[in-house]
Amino acid sequence: MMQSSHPMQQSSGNAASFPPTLPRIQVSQSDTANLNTLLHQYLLRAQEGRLYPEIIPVVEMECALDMGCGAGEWIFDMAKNHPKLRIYGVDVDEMPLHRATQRRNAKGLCQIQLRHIDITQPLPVPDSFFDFVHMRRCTRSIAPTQWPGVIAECIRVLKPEGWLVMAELELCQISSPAMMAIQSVMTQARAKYGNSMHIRGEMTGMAPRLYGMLLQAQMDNVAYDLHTVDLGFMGGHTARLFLTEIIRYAWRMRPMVVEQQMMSSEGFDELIKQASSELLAPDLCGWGVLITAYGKRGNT
Amino acid sequence: MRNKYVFSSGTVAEASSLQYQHRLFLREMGTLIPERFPLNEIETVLDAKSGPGGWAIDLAKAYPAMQVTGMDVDIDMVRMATEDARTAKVTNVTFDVGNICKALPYTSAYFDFVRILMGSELASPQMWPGIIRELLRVIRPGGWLNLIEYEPGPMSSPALDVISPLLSKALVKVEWAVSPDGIAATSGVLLPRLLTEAGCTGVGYTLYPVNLGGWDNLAGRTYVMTALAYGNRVTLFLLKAEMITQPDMNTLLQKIEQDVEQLDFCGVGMLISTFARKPTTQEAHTGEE
Repeated sequence: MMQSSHPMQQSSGNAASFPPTLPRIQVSQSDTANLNTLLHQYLLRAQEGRLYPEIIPVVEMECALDMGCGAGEWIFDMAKNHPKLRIYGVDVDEMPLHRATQRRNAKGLCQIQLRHIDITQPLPVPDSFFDFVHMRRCTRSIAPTQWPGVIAECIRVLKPEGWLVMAELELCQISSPAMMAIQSVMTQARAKYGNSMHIRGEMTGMAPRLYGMLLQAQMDNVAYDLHTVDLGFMGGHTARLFLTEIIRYAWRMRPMVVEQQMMSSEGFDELIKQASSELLAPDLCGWGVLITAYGKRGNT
Repeated sequence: MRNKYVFSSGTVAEASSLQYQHRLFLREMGTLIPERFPLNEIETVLDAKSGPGGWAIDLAKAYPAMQVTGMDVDIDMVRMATEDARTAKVTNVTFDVGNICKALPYTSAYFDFVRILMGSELASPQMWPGIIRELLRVIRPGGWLNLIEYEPGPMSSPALDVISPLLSKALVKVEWAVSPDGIAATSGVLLPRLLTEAGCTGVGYTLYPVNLGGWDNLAGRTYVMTALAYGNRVTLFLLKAEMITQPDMNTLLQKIEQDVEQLDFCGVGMLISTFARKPTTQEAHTGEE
């Protein structure tokens, strides 16, 4: 169940007060589902169109779990490619999960099951249940100290020789100073709430550590793939939508930033406004990386 | 104006570390000149920061019809490069002493293609507009410019996490930082804007990730160490900027070496390869009207 004490989730509850001037790139309310699809396509394009690393034999599999599935974009793509695969999606956030459920029902996709679950808690699933556990962009809902527990739980519910895949994003450099400042403020805010591993606080720092955690958990065939995320004008319209989503997310953390006295609310608003206009620059350039770490559960 | 690299040691160790870097970057980029440039229209080439000459010699070998020029600020590097070219019997490459931060020793509109790898080691962000102007002078109308910067990205080593903020502070201290707080963008991501502002056409960039970690990637992990500890570039710079004492630095380097030697080390850097074209005479006229 939802942990009401977690500040990240508390603040994401009152998302209605996004400033009316934002985002400058128009996304209407009814397009939110569309936006999710676009962002999924964007990350998938970075991953060269692969929903999972090539080494994983999904055709031979029966049952997969998507931890932190959001609106189910990955799940629906997987279902399309693998009609016989049973796919479970779990997420702590009810809004996108609700949209995923509506979409599943409209399409009558019985192979998909969706559940409202806090993925930082023990999963209500028997041992050795899944062939494949997938996670993407979960650093927002899992604190660094919780990761080893989450990984152990994923391995528990995996069948012997089942695969665990974790893909996390790091935003590294962008030619918008305001955007860099927002990233820095956000990470500092997270660090104060114990949700950052990086000493400097500029990057979240989880992505490069997943590989080591899988080795630590004594999985087999542990490896990682690197994919570039283009944040600049060569990344096209979707790159800008993606950055807009980051700004939206930053805006939701405003109460925390102000409460921690890291910035005045006026200063923070000004920064958000400046970033929104800077990311429209025709020569915007920036990059991030998506690190996909994966491993196989041993036979024991 | 400075004659030396911002991270300077000027030793043979430096040259071999740069050769190592050339091979690793070539592995990650896949080509000497990206495919987007029309090779059949390129004869005269300048590597304006050629170091020990690895790239220039490789290019001259691969394309015997090209006339390749390498230029470097360090006379020892130029000597080593000339010697290497002679040993390898490559005759279509020459090396000169020159500084990208000053007037270039070449006539106007001479080169078809000019490239610089990691020019930001020599050039502060404020110097770039002047440098680009001088580079464009020696490029023929319709010729190409390729500026490549390397930026370190996320790493799994806690000791390396200590280095990067020190480096940012040191760069601010010597006024080489892009922003006063040192957290804003590096020069690499600013280059497309600077090239556009300089009046170039067809400005764009390509991103090449550099894998530094993984149990089976000795080359990547070795690069982290050569760039930091053995090459001593960063070390000397941090000491000179009085960001850290020698004993503390030694302890830190030992820790980094331990972290990077671990099989579970994971890290990534990025090569930002920006490209642009000098307007043709016709385009330049249209632009003026």
